[in-house]
Amino acid sequence: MHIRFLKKKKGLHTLEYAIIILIIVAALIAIQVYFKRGVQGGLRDSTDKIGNQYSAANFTSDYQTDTNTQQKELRDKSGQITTDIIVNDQTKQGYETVAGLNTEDTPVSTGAPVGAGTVTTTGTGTSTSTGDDTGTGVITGTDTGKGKGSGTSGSGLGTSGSGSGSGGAGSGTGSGNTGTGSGNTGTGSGNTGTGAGNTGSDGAQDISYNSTIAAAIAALCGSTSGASECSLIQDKHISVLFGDFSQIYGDGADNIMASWEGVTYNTIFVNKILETQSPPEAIAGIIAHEATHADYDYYPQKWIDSTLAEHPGLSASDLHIPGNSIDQECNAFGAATEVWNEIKGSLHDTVLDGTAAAYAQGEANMKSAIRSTYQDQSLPEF
Amino acid sequence: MINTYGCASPADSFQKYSSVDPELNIALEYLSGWVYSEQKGTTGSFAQVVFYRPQKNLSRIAMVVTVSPVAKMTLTDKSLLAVVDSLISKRMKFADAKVLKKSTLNIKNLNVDATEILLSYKTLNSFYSVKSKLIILKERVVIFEYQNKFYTLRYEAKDSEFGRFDQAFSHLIDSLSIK
Repeated sequence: MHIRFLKKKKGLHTLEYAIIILIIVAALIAIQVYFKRGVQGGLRDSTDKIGNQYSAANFTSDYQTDTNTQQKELRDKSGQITTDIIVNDQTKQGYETVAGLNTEDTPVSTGAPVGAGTVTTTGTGTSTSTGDDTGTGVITGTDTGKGKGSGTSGSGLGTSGSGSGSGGAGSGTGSGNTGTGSGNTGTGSGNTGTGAGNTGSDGAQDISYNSTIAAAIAALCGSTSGASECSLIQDKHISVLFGDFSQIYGDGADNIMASWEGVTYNTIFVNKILETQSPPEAIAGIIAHEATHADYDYYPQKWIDSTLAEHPGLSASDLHIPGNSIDQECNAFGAATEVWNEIKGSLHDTVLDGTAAAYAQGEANMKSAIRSTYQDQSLPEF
Repeated sequence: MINTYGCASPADSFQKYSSVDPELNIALEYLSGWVYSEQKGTTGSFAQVVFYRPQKNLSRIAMVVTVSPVAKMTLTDKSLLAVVDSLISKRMKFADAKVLKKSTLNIKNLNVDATEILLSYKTLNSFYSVKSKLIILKERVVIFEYQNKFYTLRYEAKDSEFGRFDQAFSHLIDSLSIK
C-alpha cells in the first residue's frame, strides 16, 4: 500500500512543483515594486545625506549659552590650594535654519523629477513624478552640556559637556504623472555642546557671590571712590569669597582681615567672621583694600611709574612691584578709608573707623604705624 | 632698609644709629634689640626713621623721628605753633583724644627749643585684624624747627606700657645730632 500510494503521489508532485514555481514567480513580480522602492529609497537617503542639509548662503543660527559656575578654593596649612568646582552648568539653546533649498544654484526641476517622491505604482511600468522639493528644515537643538570637575592648586579638570538636537521636519509636495511625491524630510542635528570645566580660578566666567559679598560689591560699585576697584573686580572676574583663615593659612591666622591671593588664583578672601561682624559697607572698604593689591599685580607698570613720579629719589630697583610694601599697604588703607568714609553713613565699624582715624593723621604717621604693627616685619618700604 | 642686628642686647643699653637717607641726616642712640626702618614721604614731604621692637605679637610701641622740609609742607602758616596745632588737631580725630601736657623742651645738642606734647587717645591696637580693638595709646611728641626743617620726635605706647620706654625716648632725644 505504501508503494502504490507513492506512485500515485508522484503525478501530483510534479503539478505541485509547477504551481509553487508559478506562485513564486507571481510573488516576485508582485513585490518587484517593493524592491524597487527599497533601492530608490536607499538612493534617495544617500542623496539626502549629501545635500539639502546645509547651505552657507541660506543658513542662519541663533544660540544663547548660559553658564553657571561656582567654585570654592581653599589653601591648607602647607600652602597647597585646592579648588572644588561645585557647579559648572552650561546650557545652550537655539536653532539653525536652512531655508530656500529650491533656490540653490543646483538646477530646479521643471517637470523633470527632482528629489524623490514616494511613488506608488500599480503593476509594472515606470511612473514619472515631478515635484519640487520645497522642504524647509528648521533645526532645533538644545545643548545641555554639563561640566563638573575638581582640581588641585587651582587647576580643575572639567569634563566636556555634550549635547544633541533633533532636526525639524521638512515637508514638500510634488505631483507626478501617476504618482505623488513627498518633499524631503529634513534632518538636522543640534550642535554638540561644549561645556568645559573650569580651570582653577577661571577668570572668564561670571562670578556668583555670597549675598553679603554681593551687597558689599554693590556698595563698592555704587561709590565714586571705589570705582576703579569695582572695575578691576568686574574686568578681571575676581572671585571674592569668605574664607576661614585658620584653614587657609594655618593656626594663628584666624585674625587676618582679608587677603589677595594673586593673579594666579584671582581671589580675594575675606575673613568669614566678618560676614556676621561687619556691615557690607565695611566689607566694601576691605575689598577696596585688597583690590588695590590686585591692581598692583595686574598693572605693575602703572604703579611703578606713579611711585617713581612721587619719589624722585627712588629707582626701579628700589621697588617691589609686583609684590607688597609699606607704601602699597598705605595706598591700600587709603583706598579702604576713602570708600568707607563715602558710604558708611551712620554706620560704625571699629576696624574701619580706627583705620580712617589713623589714615587722617597723614602719610608719615600711617606708614610708621604700619611698620611697627604689621605682622610681616620684613615688608620692604616700596 | 631694615636693621635686625643687636637683638640680644639688654633693654637698657643703646646702640648708635646714623641715617642712610641724606634727607634725614641725623644720628642718635636707640634701644639695643630694637630694629629700625627708614621711610620716605610722597614728593619728598618727609623722611623718617621708625624704631620698633622685633616680635611676633606686636604691640603699638614705637619711636619715630620725622624730618619735614619747610618748603615741602602744605600748611599755610609754617610756624612752630601752627605745626603743633595741626598735629593736635589731627589727633583729636581719635576717640577720647586729650592733650595731657604741653611744655617747652630744650634740645641739648642743637641748643634749640622744642614744643613737647603728651597726648592720649583711643586707637586700634593693630591694623587689619578681625581681633583689632581700641586701646588707650599715649604719645609723647617733641617738635622743633632747625635749619628750615621741622623735626618731630614721637614715642607711642599703650597706656599701661608707656612708662617702660619713656626714659629710653628721653635718651634718644638727648642723643640726637645733625650730621
